Amino acid sequence: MRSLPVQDTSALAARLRRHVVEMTSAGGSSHVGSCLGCADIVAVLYGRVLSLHADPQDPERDRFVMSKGHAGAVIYAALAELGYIGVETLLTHCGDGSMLSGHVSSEVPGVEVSTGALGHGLGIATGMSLAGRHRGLGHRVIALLSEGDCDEGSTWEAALFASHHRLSNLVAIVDYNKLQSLASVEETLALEPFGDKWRAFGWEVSEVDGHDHAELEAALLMEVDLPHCVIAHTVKGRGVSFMENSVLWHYRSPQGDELEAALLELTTQ
Amino acid sequence: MRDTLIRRVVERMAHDPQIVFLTGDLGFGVLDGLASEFPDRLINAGVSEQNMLGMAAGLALEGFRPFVYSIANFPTIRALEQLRNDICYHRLPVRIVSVGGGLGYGPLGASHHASDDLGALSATPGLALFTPSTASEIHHLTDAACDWPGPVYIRVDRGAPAATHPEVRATIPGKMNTMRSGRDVTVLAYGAIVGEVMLAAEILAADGVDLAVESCVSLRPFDEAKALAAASRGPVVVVEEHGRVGGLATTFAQTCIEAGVAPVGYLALTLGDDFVREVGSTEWLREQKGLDARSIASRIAHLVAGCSLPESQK
Repeated sequence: MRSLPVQDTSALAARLRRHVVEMTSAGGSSHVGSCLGCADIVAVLYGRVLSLHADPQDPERDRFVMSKGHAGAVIYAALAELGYIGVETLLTHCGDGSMLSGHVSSEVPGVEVSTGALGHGLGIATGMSLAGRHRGLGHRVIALLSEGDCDEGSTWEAALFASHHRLSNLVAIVDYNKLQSLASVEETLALEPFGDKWRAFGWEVSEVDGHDHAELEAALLMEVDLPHCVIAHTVKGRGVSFMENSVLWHYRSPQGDELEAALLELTTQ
Repeated sequence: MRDTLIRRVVERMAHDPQIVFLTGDLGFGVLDGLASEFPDRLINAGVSEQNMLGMAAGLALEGFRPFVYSIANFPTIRALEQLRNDICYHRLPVRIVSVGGGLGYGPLGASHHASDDLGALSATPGLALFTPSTASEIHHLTDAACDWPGPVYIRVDRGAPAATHPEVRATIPGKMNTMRSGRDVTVLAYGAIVGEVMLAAEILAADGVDLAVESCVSLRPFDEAKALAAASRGPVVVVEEHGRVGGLATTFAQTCIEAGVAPVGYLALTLGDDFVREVGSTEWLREQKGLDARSIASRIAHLVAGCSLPESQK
């Protein structure tokens, strides 16, 4: 059971969006589109669904693995909103001497494991899931993946293992925004029929609107006896009109007029 | 060698519930004892080495101390990024065992030759590299691995270990074991090839060349003191069933250069710079590569003939 207070996830998501725009601007860093697109998922997880406590290392906590480590900024923002780190540290993201590296870092309280190279998170989460089951513990292990993670063979190795061993305490959320680094998923390495692929690998599959908090929460709280894949249909860059559905904003850091325009849109939402 | 390792792991598992054992679908006939005693702590990951190492990291993050077992380059080079990013970067107590160091799977071809494994791994920060030669060394190094606070790679020969005369009492990572005292040339070696070196020593003794033989039980931590003492004393020969680059020869040479010490004579007997493309038994392949006892003796004799031995030996 979570002992950290539950938050208004809509308000939390709005704050996360403002944070990541400011952070990627201050640090001159990429991936604001990736962060904005999964802000609702992260808000629902950290604001309500994850069983979390005052001690980020509480042994009864749910484990969360950010496999799409390049969206580290949104995780740091969530950890600050939970009080695990100071909000004042967020603008040091990617800065000299900062503990907030561009890809999510386990040096930061509340981060289970450093990631960055895609395809690692689900394997690590599967190991954690095995550990929990071996010990008869009740916590869950949730991993957030990108489509890029699903290009990596190692992700599917983990998927095979998890279903074979019926690791029902394991959830993989896929932030399915249909864009990759150079072009759309469809043009790069088509994943459809995506849900069918996960089902064929022996997983329970839910498909939700990745910006609908009620749908997300309902899917994430489903009790299933298989590992569960929640395919969250999202819009990359969601929340800032000129960043939405844009490969460019995978890379570009908001500066000057673009920064002002982005913050204005987010403030008036 | 692997039987000795498995036996010791099973003994330790009886007292340490945190030890779990992952295999990449290998170990037929070898893991039966472990499987029957600890069925819930033996995990077959299937032929999925990247996932196996990723899971080992996840288990270690949760307080387990996993062994990961496969052969040749499979648990290492195949999953090098998982080893680097998930295990070594986080300093996790994962023990990666590979059976078939060097040419142990000789006739099967280069895909099964762990002939450049140490080269690939020696640059990975924080990864200890254990390279036992004898049954006694593998027993003690398995113990050390069980207690090692960080990640460790254990390179195990497929066949029989080198015989030991006399029996080594204890093996400590970072300390070479003296197999044979001698005054003319010091040979540094690891793995079952130490057996060939010891036979070479017998051949050379008949010709009045007296070898000292040191078993280098670990490349990291490396016994720099003994290496530099050998380099200061006289000619040094490195023998390894590994490519020319990245193994003991590289480690020894770097140690000497950094300390400003150069032996009066030096020879590195390795597998060279190419894959081993010939097909044959381990023994036959060693002959082709000049790593059998007779070839080692001959090459060392040649070195000695061209070297000035220290005054005391003239």
